[in-house]
Amino acid sequence: MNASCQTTWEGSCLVASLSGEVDHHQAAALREQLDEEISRKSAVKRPIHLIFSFEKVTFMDSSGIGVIMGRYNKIRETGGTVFITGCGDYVDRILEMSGIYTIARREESVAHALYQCGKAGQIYEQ
Amino acid sequence: MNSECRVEERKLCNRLEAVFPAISQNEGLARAVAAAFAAQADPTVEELTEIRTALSEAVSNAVIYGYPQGEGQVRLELSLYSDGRFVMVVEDQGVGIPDVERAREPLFTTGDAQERSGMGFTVMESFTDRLDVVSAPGKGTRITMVKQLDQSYEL
Repeated sequence: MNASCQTTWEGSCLVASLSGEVDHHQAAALREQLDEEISRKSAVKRPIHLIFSFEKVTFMDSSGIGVIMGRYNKIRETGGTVFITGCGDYVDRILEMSGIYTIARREESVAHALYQCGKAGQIYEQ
Repeated sequence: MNSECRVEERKLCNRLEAVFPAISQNEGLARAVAAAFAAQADPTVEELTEIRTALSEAVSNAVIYGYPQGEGQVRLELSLYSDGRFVMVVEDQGVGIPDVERAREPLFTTGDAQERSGMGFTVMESFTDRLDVVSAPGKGTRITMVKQLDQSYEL
């Protein structure tokens, strides 16, 4: 089963809903798609936030960690934050192992993450 | 129970061997094969997920690091024993690992540090009961993972 990624912008927040099987084979396309989205708005010189949703992910190995880490490096350059939402126990276990939560914030849902951004005055149209 | 007595009790129930090109498309195929093979032991959903994940890491390693130049074969061997022991072997004839101990450390990677987490061996280790890595530069790598499935399985 292929992995796919649906992206939507909520102002300055990029919401990336992953689905399917996230493995090494699928990671390249995900990276490319997300980097293209990020670069569309990174010229604006204001923080961009990235909210990952893992709700529809049916399989993930450590390649998923790499996808988050690589995107984190780009988001950090804009001064933004990466959020991880909707993880099942097992995806959470892999992410926990890697210590990814020391650089990305875990939130229950996309709505929670958007609320956190909004509260901090971090959502604006651009 | 001492190990000698266990060996006598254990009987090979089924075995599967597959050889495929070391291309990333086959990572999903290998997972599907392992899941279908393990299904005969009636594993729990969690066990099945752990098997698929650990195997995915091993096969990805063979594809990415075993054959950095591209072409090569990966051999997969699955064995199921009467006591619920499930053994997965992933073998390549690639470049090998110069320092296995170091490669097994969490976060260590010789790959693109921006995109590879260095967590492959750590995931294999934590999702199985035993992980053996035999490797020599120029000779390839053999990864053996043993997982003890819940005992409900009867021959």
